[in-house]
Amino acid sequence: MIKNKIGRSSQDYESVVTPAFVKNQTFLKRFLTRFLSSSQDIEDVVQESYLKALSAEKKHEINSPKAFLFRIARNEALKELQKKSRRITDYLDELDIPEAATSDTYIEDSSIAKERFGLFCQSALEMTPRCRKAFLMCKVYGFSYKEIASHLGISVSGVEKHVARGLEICNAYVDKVEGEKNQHKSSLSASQLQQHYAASVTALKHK
Amino acid sequence: MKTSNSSTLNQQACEWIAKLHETELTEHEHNELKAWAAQSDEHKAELRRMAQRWDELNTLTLLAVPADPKKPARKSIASYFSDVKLQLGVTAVAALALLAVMVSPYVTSEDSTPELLSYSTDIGEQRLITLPDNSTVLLNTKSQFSVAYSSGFRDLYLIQGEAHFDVMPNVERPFRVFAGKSRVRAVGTAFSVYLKKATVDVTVTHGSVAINSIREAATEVASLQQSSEINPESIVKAGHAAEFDQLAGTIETVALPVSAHVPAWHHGKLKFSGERLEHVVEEISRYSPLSIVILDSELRDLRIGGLFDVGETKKMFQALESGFGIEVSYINENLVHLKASEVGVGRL
Repeated sequence: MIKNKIGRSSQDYESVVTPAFVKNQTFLKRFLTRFLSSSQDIEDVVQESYLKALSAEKKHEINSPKAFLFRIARNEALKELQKKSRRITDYLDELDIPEAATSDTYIEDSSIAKERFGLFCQSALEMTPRCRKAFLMCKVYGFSYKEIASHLGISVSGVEKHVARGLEICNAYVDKVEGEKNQHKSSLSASQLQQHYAASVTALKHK
Repeated sequence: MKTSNSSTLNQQACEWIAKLHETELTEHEHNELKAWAAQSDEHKAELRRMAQRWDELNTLTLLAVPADPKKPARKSIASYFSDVKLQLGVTAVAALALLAVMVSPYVTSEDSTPELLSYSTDIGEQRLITLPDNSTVLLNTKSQFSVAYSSGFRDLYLIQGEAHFDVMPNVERPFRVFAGKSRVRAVGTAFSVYLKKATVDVTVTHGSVAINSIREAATEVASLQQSSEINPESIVKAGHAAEFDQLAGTIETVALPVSAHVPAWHHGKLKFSGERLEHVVEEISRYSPLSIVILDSELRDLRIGGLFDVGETKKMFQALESGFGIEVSYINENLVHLKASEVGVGRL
């Protein structure tokens, strides 16, 4: 259907992405509903994910098309969550709150980011089960406070409190571990730590 | 390093971020935040720092997993848990415990719009679950069901075991329970469904339900859509129990004695009034991981009576020994043998 000059020619293979897309469209949409506000956005992102998957398929074989589509959709979802949190930053700009002057800037794909991800996961275990659930439903799956409230059978303001507490716990945990690490640099090397977290990240990704 | 003062400061900053995440601030709140931040540079810096942390936390979306609708979430997570524990040690276990928590609210069926939530109990466990419409489900031992609420229907799938449903009336959104090859529909009523191998037992405590036989066992929405053929329904009223034969598709209804109108397990009890030992063992086994074997075949027909607490398996065995002339021997931690005691007293 789409001619391609590079990579595999379309005669060489039968698309696995297309049937997977048709089959899982509703699933993808449902997943994205959590993160995107309007139905137009969802349509667009779903289409875009499909096109990305198709062009990736032209270059190399895709073994698990559903998982592949899902990964692409998840990246889009991440972008949406980022928009949301950046809106907070913009708001703070409006309030004339000066930007953080510390060197603690977050660099994407850096080893710090990977390490932090492991710490975030671990910090959730410090939360009470309800708090953890509310926090993760918000940050992992993008559920709205209202949805979380009805799932947990508590009020929306109750969810907000759990989420605030979750952020507090998570932040304290990261500060504590990173603080300790800076103090005891000799006992654990950075690469050792990285391996340590990489293990947990791999385990999570596997699922 | 941190003083109690700065921890409250941090707490307040977190509260603001959680508020800002979703809601547009009212003018009053906006002014409040402004005033809060104006207190000191520390306040401002903390708010910035938490906003940044909140942004970093978006990476947690990586944890989102597409759930396989064909596998009950708990089971697959549990088995995965034990596998990885051996290989990766404590960190992985911690991370996986976290994952197990998260996956439960997001079990979706891949081709359906309704949301599927899944609940389960372990052996000997009972659990009361409140559904989004405030209907409740009392889940008996070793049972599992999933919820597929859509705008038109409140559908539940009993995948394993037994559950009692207390339904909030809503004529426009029928409440339906799919169990094996049966469909039980209720409007404002309370009833229990027990999915067995050959039959589905339905006990109605309030109101009435309609039972249909369906062609294919429906364990998820997709399979329901294929089984379009719904046979005529049978009405079962309060105080009655129905046994639905999954093979023949027939339904047999009996009136229950008043004492049995509310099944004992609803109160965490096991009640026997002259049932055969074979049946009693079958019941006890539902609440205990033990394998219980009746060695003397003549014991199978022994009639047993009594009221026991669910999960108090030991006490039940004691009662069998003292009152019914049965000798209970613990072969190992998983196996129990029952045979006729030599004294043989107390036989009915």
